[in-house]
Amino acid sequence: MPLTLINMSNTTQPLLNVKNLKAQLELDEGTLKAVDGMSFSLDRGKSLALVGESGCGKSMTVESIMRITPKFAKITGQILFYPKVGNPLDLAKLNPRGAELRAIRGGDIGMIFQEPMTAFSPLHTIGNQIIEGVRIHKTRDKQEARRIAIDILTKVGISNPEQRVDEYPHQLSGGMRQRAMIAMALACEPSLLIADEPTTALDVTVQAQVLKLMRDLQHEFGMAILYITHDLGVVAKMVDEVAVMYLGKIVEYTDVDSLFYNPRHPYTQALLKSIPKVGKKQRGRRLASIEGSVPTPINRPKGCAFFARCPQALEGICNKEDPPLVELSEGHKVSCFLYPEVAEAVKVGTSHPSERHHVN
Amino acid sequence: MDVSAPATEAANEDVYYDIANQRQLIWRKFRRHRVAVFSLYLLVFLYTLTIFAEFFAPYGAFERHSGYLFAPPTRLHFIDDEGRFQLRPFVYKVTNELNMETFQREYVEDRTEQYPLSFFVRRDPYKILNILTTDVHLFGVEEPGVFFPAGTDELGRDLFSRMLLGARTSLFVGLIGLFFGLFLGLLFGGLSGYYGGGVDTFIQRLIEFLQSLPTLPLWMALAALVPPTWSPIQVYFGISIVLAIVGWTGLARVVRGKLISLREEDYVLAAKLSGVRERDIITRHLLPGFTSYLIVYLSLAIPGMILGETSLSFLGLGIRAPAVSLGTLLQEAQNVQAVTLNPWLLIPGGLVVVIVLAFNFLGDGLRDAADPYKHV
Amino acid sequence: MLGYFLRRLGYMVIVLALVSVVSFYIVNLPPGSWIESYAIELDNSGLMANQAELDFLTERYGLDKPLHIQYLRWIVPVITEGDFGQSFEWRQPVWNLIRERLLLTMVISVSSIIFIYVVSIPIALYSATHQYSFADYVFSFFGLLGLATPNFLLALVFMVLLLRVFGFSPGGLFSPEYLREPWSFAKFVDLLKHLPVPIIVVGTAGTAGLIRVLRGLLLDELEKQYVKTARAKGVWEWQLILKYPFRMALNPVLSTIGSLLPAIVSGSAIVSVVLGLPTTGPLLLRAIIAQDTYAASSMLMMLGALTIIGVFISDLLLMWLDPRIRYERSN
Repeated sequence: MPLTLINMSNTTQPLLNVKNLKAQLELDEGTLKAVDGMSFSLDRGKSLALVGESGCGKSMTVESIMRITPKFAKITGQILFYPKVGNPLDLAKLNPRGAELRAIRGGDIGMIFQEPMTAFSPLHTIGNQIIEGVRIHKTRDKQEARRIAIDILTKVGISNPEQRVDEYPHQLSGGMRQRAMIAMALACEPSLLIADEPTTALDVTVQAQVLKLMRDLQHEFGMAILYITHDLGVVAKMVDEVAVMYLGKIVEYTDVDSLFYNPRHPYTQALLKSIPKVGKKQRGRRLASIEGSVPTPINRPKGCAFFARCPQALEGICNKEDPPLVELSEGHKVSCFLYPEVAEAVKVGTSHPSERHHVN
Repeated sequence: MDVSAPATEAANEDVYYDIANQRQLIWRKFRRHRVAVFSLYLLVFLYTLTIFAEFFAPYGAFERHSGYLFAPPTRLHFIDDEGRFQLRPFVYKVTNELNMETFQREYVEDRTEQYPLSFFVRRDPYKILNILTTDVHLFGVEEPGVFFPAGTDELGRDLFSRMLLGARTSLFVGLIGLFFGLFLGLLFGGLSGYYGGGVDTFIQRLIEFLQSLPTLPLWMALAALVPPTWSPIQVYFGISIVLAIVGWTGLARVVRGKLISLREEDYVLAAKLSGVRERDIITRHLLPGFTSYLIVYLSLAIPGMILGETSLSFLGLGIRAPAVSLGTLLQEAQNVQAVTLNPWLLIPGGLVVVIVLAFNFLGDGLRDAADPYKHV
Repeated sequence: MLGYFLRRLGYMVIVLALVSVVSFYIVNLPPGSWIESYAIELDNSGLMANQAELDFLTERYGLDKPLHIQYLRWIVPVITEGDFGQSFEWRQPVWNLIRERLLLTMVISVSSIIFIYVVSIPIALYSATHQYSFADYVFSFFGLLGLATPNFLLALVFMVLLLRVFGFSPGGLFSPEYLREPWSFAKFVDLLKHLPVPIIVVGTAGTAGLIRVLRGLLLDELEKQYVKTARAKGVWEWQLILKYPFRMALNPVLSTIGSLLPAIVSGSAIVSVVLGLPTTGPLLLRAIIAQDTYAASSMLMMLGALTIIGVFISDLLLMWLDPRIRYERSN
């Protein structure tokens, strides 16, 4: 199995560049802006996490990248993907059912889903479902595809893979199933792995094993990983950069150290306060929680989406205008009017392009 | 993402519905289902029409018009030969002549004689609801003019009048059958769900057994149990019971399933823990929990009963002459030659389809409405 | 696995025995019997009833004995010799009478089921993948109409239409020249020519029902996570639909045979009466009216057996197709 050695070099190479991505669903009640102008990029071999509460549009973002959103979702913006061979492609412009996109899905981009219970068809063997992808992207030969499937099952730490390959999902434990899921995503050696809450449905002990496995495999295969999670523990252990999402938008975008030691957005600060800290004296103190719940992204009024829940909200400013995402320091972007740079950007009109231009 | 939209919508409606009770909730949801609402009105209209069938029928159901055998539906005119519009519709005199080539009677309009349609005409007397004697009919034309809205049969009887009477039988046999079925279904379903264990297993096996039998042959055999000496009213009830004996199984399953799942509900447990008596739990907590399901199920079961009655009567095993039902009317249409030449004999069949469709739509609408917290 | 099969088989035998009891008792419950009406008829027509014949029949079938003795006298030869008794009215063994009709009933039932699956599966697939499209609404409307139209009415409408438009009468299953002929290839071809109308008429309600069920199931399945997984693997959309959601929806559909088969057998009985098909339906109707005990009970029992065996087969099929059920039942 040829190893991709790209991440050994020091120069960073772009792999994915998302610009002003929007995903809108037309419902009877109005337009639901599930993803509302997301921009981020990911280099080869690196990892990025999209963090946020459920319903913030994390999953929709990655489904938009894969173009596997529901039929009635409208995707706009740019999703530049740089495949192993050939020119970069704008995934947003491709036909979601077309051959070009199908070649990338499962081939260059692999995906892990959060529910290993339901992500496998119960009527087909694990092997059948891994081999299916291998035969689409790597080899037409049945025997070879089967060998690759067994190899990859061995790599993800499934014992007795020759036997497991012919078993049905219901015969495997939850942790085993998630490993099989990872094996399925990695079988075609993708350069980008999208992991949608890969450990949420697992026991805590199994979670740690799976995370370690993914980190090891990332080193071995040299692939980039895009994590979707609400678990800041995963973020701390696994990624280089973090994008904090709120209601379809990125509110803070930074490297993992700044996130934990220097969070700037009130929402990020609140998120961090809501996790228990080991070692600190906590006795007698309640964990902080964020007041209220995420509002509906349907027909949302103008202004900062976090306004209603924000402890530091400025009446007359935060609910008048959408705060743009502005770089405060090297690689650290925030969208919050508490920072004069952001307010300045609105006045001058030099805000982040994604917030201004509506490419429809 | 897909989770948040319905959830928030539900949250909004909770606020909106805060003061509405269960029945109002169901009604509001139901009204949004326009086809179902229309079906409800249509059925109310049909039941009214058939309850007062004698009033709405221009002729008696057994009255023979010997000069008008197999007469086609009479055309109602608004514009006369001179092209004048008349607000009051009228019919022309109808005469028949024998076509010497086909040897078929052919009916033609005699345009020289007009008979305007009159309302509240006095003709033969009848009893409303078997109580009040009167002779007023909603509409009719003056003799010797005739008005057959749906044509006549081989004996020259007005099909429209017979259809109203027949629909009454069919609509109510369905209801009465349903009533018996409801009784059996509640009884067995209740026993099954309440006692569980051996009783449950036995009743479930019985139901599986009954459901695996082909319905119609079973109905046929059971209908033969109704003695030929019985009066029409007795036959009527007999057939209803026959329909119910085969038809209760589905209801019993629904009742049992619902009872079992309700027993597990938190609010029932809460009631038990706070020391509410068992009978109160059943009447105050369990029954309201499934009356809505019951109504839904019933509205979907009626068409089955009606189809059963029509089929049996069509085969000559159900309602018997002189009683009339939509099935017996169609039985007269069994002769293919006659139907081909006189296709209006199939009109009662059209009415069956309309009734069954209406009940189905109504049931669908009720099913969606019965669960006001479920957002499809 | 084998244990389950044997249990299921044993259960089926018990049910079949029950069916025979129920069939016999229902037919015998109405007051009077064929023999009585026969005697009255002979009396009325002025002929002296042949007392010896009546006595012989009464003796042979134990008609003066209690019902359970009569039942045993009927069922024991059925099991041991395949002798279903004598039809009073037709004066010949019941088995001779119903053999061919039973076969034709099966032919019509099985081909109707095939028709139902062949027509409704593609339509349901299309409707589910094109939800709320114009064609979806059209199919739904005709589906409801098909469900609401009684079989016999549809048969009548078909006959009238064919007679009026094409001037041809679709009655029967054989052309007159083959009616009394023994089986031959030409007769078989003739049968095939006559089959479409009854199959369409019998199958319409089932087709409409199945489209509704299958469409709903497919819509549910298309939302499932594993469909997304397969899409994320780059599987071609139609290949994916057929391999996953369709396969999943097929199992409950197969298990609907349990309710479909009794409905088909019912439907074919009444349609046969209208279209004059030589199946068991019309004969059963006559036998019931004439209180021809053995003919009626035998046919009732055989129709019940037909559906019960059909359900048994579909159950085994389901087990073969669904690994979860196989797993559950073998343990």
